[in-house]
Amino acid sequence: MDRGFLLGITMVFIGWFVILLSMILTKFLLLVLSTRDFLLALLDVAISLLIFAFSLLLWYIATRRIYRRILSEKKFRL
Amino acid sequence: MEYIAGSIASFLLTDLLIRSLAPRFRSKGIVGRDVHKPEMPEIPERLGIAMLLSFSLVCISIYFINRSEICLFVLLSSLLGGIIGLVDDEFDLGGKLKPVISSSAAIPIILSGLAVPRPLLPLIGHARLYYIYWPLLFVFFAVIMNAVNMMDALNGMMPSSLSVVLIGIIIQSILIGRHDIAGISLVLLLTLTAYLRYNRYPAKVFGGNVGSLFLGSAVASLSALSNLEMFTVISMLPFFITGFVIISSIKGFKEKREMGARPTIVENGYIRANPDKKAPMTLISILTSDLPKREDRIVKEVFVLAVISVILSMITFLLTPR
Repeated sequence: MDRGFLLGITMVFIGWFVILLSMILTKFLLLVLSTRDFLLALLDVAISLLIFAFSLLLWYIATRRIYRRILSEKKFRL
Repeated sequence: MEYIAGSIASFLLTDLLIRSLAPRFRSKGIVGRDVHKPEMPEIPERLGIAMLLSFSLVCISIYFINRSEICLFVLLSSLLGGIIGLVDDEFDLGGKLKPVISSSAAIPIILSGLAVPRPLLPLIGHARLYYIYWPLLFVFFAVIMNAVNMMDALNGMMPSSLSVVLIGIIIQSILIGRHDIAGISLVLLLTLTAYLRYNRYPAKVFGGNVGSLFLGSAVASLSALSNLEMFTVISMLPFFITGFVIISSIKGFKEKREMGARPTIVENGYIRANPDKKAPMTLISILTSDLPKREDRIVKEVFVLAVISVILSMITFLLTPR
């Protein structure tokens, strides 16, 4: 199994983890902000989306760094 | 019973239509170059029309048999997706306009009154998103349709991965008692299987944007009507990785020709990631970053990723209170 395929599998697992993490945090916020108030519900969704976007950003930066490192090693070897 | 009969009919009809339309399209010059082959052969394009026609005919027939409104509205939405794809094939909508226009495929589902704004969220259960659900549905359609569109890069990559996603939707729909959704998904699965026989490596036909946007809107409407949106998102993780990393690395919605450099290089039938820093990162370039690979091997690896994602979606589904 090469590192490219391993990186692909890792990306799938991290993507899944990011979704689950956002859901767990949403559940927590729903408990904290247990309300039918529209603005608070909107705030809850906004916070969840922010957490999701931030996790995605971290995920993307990490993947790009690993990807670039694999590519640069290849170039060095050539 | 009508869904099983419809699925078989759709499989046979798609096969028949592809066989009869492909030579006609080739003679009329509706062809695309297979850039990942050393000799870059010309392949008949836009054969997604065959899937669209057979799926439409079968859905209309099922509607007349059991008066299933869901069948009718899934058809309307996917038909709209297919038409947008056809317009894109003919006039090229551009990287920015396409996601906006493709989101309009959500309109039939919203107007149908069949969609319930209570999506089943992983680990949480049914949420009540009465206000936010409808604008989010437009985003959902745009994301799914364009993710399917971006996945259609190598021979058989999109149809093989989407088939696994559809199997996941069928199982989850049966588990929540939505047999109508499972039935329509089965029709779509067999339609897609018939197309996959011709699109798999080495491809004899290409589906074009008409095929990928039609399939994307059909999958989006099926998951929206069954409230399984988030589980479809998990099943489609390789699709989103493709879309997300491309959009992030080229910093926006751009067409292939607007990119600085190609993400991959083809040498003697082998594909490898382009080390140029201007080249965008894609799922294919990630998979070929360590080793140059043949096209069929990459497609098999993407298929494995799709299977893993559907298994993760199933695990999450089983952990979710319903």
